[in-house]
Amino acid sequence: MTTQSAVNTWTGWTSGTVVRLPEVPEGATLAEAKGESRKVYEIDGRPGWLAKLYRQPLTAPEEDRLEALIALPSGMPETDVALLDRQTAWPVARIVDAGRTVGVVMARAPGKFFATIRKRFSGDSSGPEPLPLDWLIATNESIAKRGLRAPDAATRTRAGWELLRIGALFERHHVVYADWSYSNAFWDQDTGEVFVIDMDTCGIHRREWIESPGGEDPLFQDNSRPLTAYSDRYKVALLAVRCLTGHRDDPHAAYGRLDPSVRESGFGTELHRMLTATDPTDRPGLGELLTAFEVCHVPQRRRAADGSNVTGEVRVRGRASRGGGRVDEPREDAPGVEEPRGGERDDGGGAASAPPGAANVTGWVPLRGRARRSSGTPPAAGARPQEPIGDQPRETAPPRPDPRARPRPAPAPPPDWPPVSVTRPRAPARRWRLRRVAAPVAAGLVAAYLIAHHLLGWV
Amino acid sequence: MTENPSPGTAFKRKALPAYLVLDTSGSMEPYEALLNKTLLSIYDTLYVSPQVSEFVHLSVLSFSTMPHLVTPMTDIEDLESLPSVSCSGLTNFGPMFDLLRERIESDLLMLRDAGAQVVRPVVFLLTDGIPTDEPDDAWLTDYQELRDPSWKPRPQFITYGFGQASEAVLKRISTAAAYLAEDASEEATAAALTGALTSMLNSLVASAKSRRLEIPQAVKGYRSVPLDDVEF
Repeated sequence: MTTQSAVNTWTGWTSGTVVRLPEVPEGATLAEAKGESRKVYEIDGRPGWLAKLYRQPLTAPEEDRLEALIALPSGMPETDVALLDRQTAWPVARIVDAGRTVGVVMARAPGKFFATIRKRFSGDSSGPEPLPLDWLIATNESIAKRGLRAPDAATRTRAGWELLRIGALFERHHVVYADWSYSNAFWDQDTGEVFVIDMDTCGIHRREWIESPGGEDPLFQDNSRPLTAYSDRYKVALLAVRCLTGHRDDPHAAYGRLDPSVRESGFGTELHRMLTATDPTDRPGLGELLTAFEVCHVPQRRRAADGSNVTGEVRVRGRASRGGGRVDEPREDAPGVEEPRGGERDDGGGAASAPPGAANVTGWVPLRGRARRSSGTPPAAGARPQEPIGDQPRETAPPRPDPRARPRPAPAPPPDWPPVSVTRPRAPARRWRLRRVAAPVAAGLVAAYLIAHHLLGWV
Repeated sequence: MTENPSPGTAFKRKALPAYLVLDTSGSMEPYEALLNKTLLSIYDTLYVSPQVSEFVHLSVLSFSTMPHLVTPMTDIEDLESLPSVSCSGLTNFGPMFDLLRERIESDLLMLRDAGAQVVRPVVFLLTDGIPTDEPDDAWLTDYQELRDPSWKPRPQFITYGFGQASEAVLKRISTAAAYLAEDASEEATAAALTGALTSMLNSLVASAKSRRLEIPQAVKGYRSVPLDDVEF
């Protein structure tokens, strides 16, 4: 089994949204008789792409759901597609045989989400294997024993942040994933980037109840009830807090292990609301939670929320983005901060927060023959996608952790600081305006004095 | 609407106590090395699969003339090494059932004290022979005590027989599933042994995912023994 370099996991597939079984010849087998699949294999001659064959052909409603899922990114803003392209194995094509859908094509996780794990008893090491969140939601000692890099606070923060971004994206587009388990997301041990798999089982608006080992939702215990975005909110938040702390048992104990400054922040407040709500509709949206997370973990964003000035501006790959290159500082006034609502936040980049069709959605992805489902204006045939006016999708970086956790010299501004709204530094602007006003006023006063003194003889 | 547990409410993680019971009588001697190698592989799999090891709590027992506790039901993080098993002696089932009951009683207490929500234990029994207990049916008394309906933690049994194993005995012991190797030759028995342990491991992995006992549907090289009184 070989690991795979990064591909665009949705836009990278160019062979149509329906393929016949003979068009996806079998390469190496990755799994057999696992879950709802009969077999998962690499498509021979198509590196980076997997075919997942179901145990049974899909029913007509299941087929419709999968078709809708495959088409969904066509109607998304470019920033959302960019996030899907990097962080999810989104379904790209149905595999049909004798008129029935028998499988689905999805991208394989890029190589950076694979790792070699040291086995303790035989002394062997595994081959490169996908690294599930299982091995982030553990103690650093336990992780290191397996020969993996023990994650630092920055890695944990990034993983938590990325899960929230992906969850918020799903929520914006009414995708209910539900299967937020330790094994359905991989992480990059060098950076904390996250990659979510098995997207083909998602529902739109709702999904049939499924077991969530370790992530049981106390408000959706009745397995006759379908799962909705309200359940996903809880599960994503739970997974995020577990990534941040490495604590996999009691959700409240995991919350208790957060740094006090995080617990007392707006993010901590929203998280607590999420974990303790007794009515699903009281759970905050993932967009809100994400915003609170970014405010908590990004100093500049926090200052903006506080109404204070920003301290600097860096250029990120030719685009303006704030960030002083500092690691986070403890937040003292979080409860007083008014958080923007989920759909109103300015992501500034990697995590486009506005819903499809919102005013700041200006970019579109190539359709590649897919059905567009949004009402936005499509580009002319053959035209290049418009450049969005707002911040662009980019290689992302996480919010940085509390510097007190691991003292380090002030780093240079990272090239890819998390998205924050772009605001001009206000203090220098005011000084500049004063200078512009003061000069003519002073000249006028001098001129008036000279006229009064010499011509009118008043003084 | 379900009431949400408030912070501080005891969180209980589900736990499946699982026992691998290996026949290490003299007739298993040709497979001793294979047995030990496969044991390592099982523990390695648990070691690299936290989702499995947090649900499945495995203990290994062996039995021949007398039963032995090979590995206790310890957190895999605390296991420093694995003992190897050696094969010799008779195939006495009765003392093995006694030891199983004793272990289940103490292991369940340990898991409950650790805050786990314990589900019914499961025993995977691998044997290549017939009971050598004296008198012939003595082992049945011990078995019935282990499976006493009034004893709440009575375990489920999944059995794998190969070599000279008896279908009637497997059928008598099994409560969830029974498999008998199709070929009794020495070469086929080695493959059957590996197949049984792989089947057990797959069952544990699947059980960890669903948080309930997942019974193997089919095992390569085995035929399924129909059970009259399957009890779930």
